[in-house]
Amino acid sequence: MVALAADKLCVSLSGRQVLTDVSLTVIPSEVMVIVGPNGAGKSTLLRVLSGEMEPGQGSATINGTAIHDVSAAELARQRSLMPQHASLTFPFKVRDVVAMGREPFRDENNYHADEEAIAWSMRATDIAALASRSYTRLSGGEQQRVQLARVLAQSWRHEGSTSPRYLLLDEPTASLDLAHQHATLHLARELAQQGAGVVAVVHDLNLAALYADCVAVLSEGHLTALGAPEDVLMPEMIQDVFGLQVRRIHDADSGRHLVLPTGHAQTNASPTPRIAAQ
Amino acid sequence: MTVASPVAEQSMRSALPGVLFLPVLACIALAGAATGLTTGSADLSLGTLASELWGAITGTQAEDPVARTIFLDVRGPRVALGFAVGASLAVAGAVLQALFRNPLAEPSIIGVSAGAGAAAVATIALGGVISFIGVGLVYILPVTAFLGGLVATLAVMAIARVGGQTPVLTMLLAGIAVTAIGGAFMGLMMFISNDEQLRAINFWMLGSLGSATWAAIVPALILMGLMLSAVPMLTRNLNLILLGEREAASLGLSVDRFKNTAVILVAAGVGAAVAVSGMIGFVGIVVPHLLRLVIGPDHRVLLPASAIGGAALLLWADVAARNLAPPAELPIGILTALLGAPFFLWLLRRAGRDGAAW
Repeated sequence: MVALAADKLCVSLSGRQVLTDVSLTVIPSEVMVIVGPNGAGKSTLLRVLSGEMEPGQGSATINGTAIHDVSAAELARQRSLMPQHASLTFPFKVRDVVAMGREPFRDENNYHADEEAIAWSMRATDIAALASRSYTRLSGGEQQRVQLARVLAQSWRHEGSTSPRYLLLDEPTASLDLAHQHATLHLARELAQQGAGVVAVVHDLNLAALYADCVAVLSEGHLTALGAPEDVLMPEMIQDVFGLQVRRIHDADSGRHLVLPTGHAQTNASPTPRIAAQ
Repeated sequence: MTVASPVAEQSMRSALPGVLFLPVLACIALAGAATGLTTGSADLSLGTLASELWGAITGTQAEDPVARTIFLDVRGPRVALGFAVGASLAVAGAVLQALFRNPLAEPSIIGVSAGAGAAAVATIALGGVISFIGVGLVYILPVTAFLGGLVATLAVMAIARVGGQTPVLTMLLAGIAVTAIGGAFMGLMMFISNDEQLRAINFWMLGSLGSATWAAIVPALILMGLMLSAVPMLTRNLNLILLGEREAASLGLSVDRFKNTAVILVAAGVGAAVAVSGMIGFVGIVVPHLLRLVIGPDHRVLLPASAIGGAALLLWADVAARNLAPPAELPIGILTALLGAPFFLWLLRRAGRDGAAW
């Protein structure tokens, strides 16, 4: 089966159960957005799906093979991963960072494919003008776009190529301005149209509503909802999982349902955040 | 974020593409070697050097037998040793900085040299036992120093790691601790040594290229040569490691296996260098740093440049050590520490000011 799949995953980290019985399937040509409160296990799920972490119980498979039976080098040609925090502190040029995305294809020695992948990724993420700048001197948002470009270069394929590929993006929009947040998710859609399976962790429910084919809701390690955004992003679910009262609005232009907070957030852990004050 | 002018930075980089910088470094190193061969208690001319070297290569009779002996057997091994030790220490520094993803890592600062030195001193002090086995100290020393350096490096890597990162602070503290243990062990070995062994041990503390004879350095030269010739295989993967270990793994690198290979190579290079030249510090931090400022952090250029640059630095330092206060010879380790320690302090201030971004 051509898919990136988790089946009854359980993961515990230093005695704490982080994921419990999570099953989901990412198929090519689809954008899956994972949402959930802080500490719900979203990043851990991506770690398991990327092969970085072995599940305690259950299985994670890529195109039918257990991820841990696939060599690191082969895995790198099938899926790319953008971690939540980048830790590059050495002053590489932007273009050199993006070019590192082509390392898994080093042995193919295909100069033109590499050049095209790098150029395309930099255009798609709007960083072409930064090519010879030093990475360490960029703003946080610019750095995030460079990392995204690196991940895109890794998953770039010749037009018409049908070999399956998956992109795992952990909060790719975290430090981006509004326009670039939408550009990033738009790009994810575009890649899915070209045949990639995309998984993105996103906090903004409206980004999920606008761009996802499928939304997975994680709460305290459990998969509490999975399905099309209009079926999943209901006020009752959001109240239960996020402790936030919302109203659902139908946007006629996009045909999508958006959500608008109406009341104060009621989190269990901390006093009411002072949203109004900001 | 610092808002230093990107334009100036950009023009500096593009004005000096890294690869074009290599011949410049090579010329500086060669000039150092030539100066090392021709100056000293008997000053010889470059012309004599050229004709005698050519004569030695073509196998013709020496025009000036004394000069040829000085070139080939007295100063030759010393220059060869300076070249190999400088290159090994600088490359080891650059590799460690990438593995720790921390520009302040250096063999003498994080305890690799201390581990190698302690093992070397122990080998000398327990030399009676070893020569009883019947293998020459010349062969044993580089091996034990390598093992000592390896143990120290692994210890620092394990101790200094906090949640997948190696912060400057824990790395320096782990280095201090490991160096202290190495120092205490050296003290203990000196305590049980006789006078002759003490003189030999004193040599480690200061660092010198003075003991170089071909017979004494060939095993260590081979070990350093092996390390330096393996380095081209590391360059791309070191770049990936700088990106972050998770990123490197997602790009197909078997991170743990690669790090182990790299650490073994570093320990081999530093161990061999320490075995024949003692404690020569700071080459591994000064050279890669200055080069990174000019040619950037890409290891495909940085590692070869560090090798040649390290060789150049040590060859010229040795020339200075021999000629600053003749006929006495300054220990070269003191010179590199005098130059390198203030440089290290400057870097530390800079790292503190800019945050993580060095």
